[in-house]
Amino acid sequence: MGVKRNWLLVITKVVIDIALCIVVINSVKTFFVFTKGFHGIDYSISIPVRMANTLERYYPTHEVKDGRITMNAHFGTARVLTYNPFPQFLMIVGFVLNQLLVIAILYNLRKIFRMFYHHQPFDYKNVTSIKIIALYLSLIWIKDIIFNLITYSYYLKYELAYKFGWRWDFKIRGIVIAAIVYIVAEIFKYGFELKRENEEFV
Amino acid sequence: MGIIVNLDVQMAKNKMSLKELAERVDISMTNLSLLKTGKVKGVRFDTLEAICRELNCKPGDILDITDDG
Repeated sequence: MGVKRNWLLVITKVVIDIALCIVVINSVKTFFVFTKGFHGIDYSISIPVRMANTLERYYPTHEVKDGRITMNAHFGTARVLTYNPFPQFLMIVGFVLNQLLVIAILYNLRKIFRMFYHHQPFDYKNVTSIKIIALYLSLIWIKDIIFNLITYSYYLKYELAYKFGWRWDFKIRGIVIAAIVYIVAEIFKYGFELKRENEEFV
Repeated sequence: MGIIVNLDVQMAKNKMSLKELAERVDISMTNLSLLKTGKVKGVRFDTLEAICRELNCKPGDILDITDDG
């Protein structure tokens, strides 16, 4: 019996394969850029900030105890020059953790789409992969909270929150998305059990 | 009490092999073999109807009930 090929599925599978390759290559390249000359390198990091309205008129620069921080109001980024390696170390660790989790999510997504491509959506391997994706999404959310807390605690030490109007926001959308993905895993598990029961009838 | 499957008896009466019956009924040899040995959880009505038509028999000729006690 011929099976009609779903071309949207084929395209999505190819896009995920390409995205995984790009993320891996980009992560390795960026890791070496970040770690090059560890300690005292001028680098730019993007921190989600809320800018006070008055700061939009100029580019503020603030001298800190062991460096200098410059805000770019138009792009919403902070450029940091510091002789203290702690912020750079924190950024590298956060970046590595984030990229490992993203690569793992894409890898599991690729496995799921491969099973869909072979017309086996209700397989227990898919249930496991979806649950793993939910776990990694929640780990990314936890990592973001911890690293944002540490980052803002470090910069708050220099009263930057007051000067630049920074505020740390607690976003729950990460854990909500992880919960929705977990519910999808349970639905696929139910589908797997129904399929198995159906196959026991001839 | 359990259900026993007498498919092999009817197949022998009609001198039909497992492979031939599977092709005529349009189910896999694996599933038909599982049915013959009673290792399935159930049979669909359309499958039972097709088997009875090919073997020229009634469902009661294929399925029986036994008292295990």
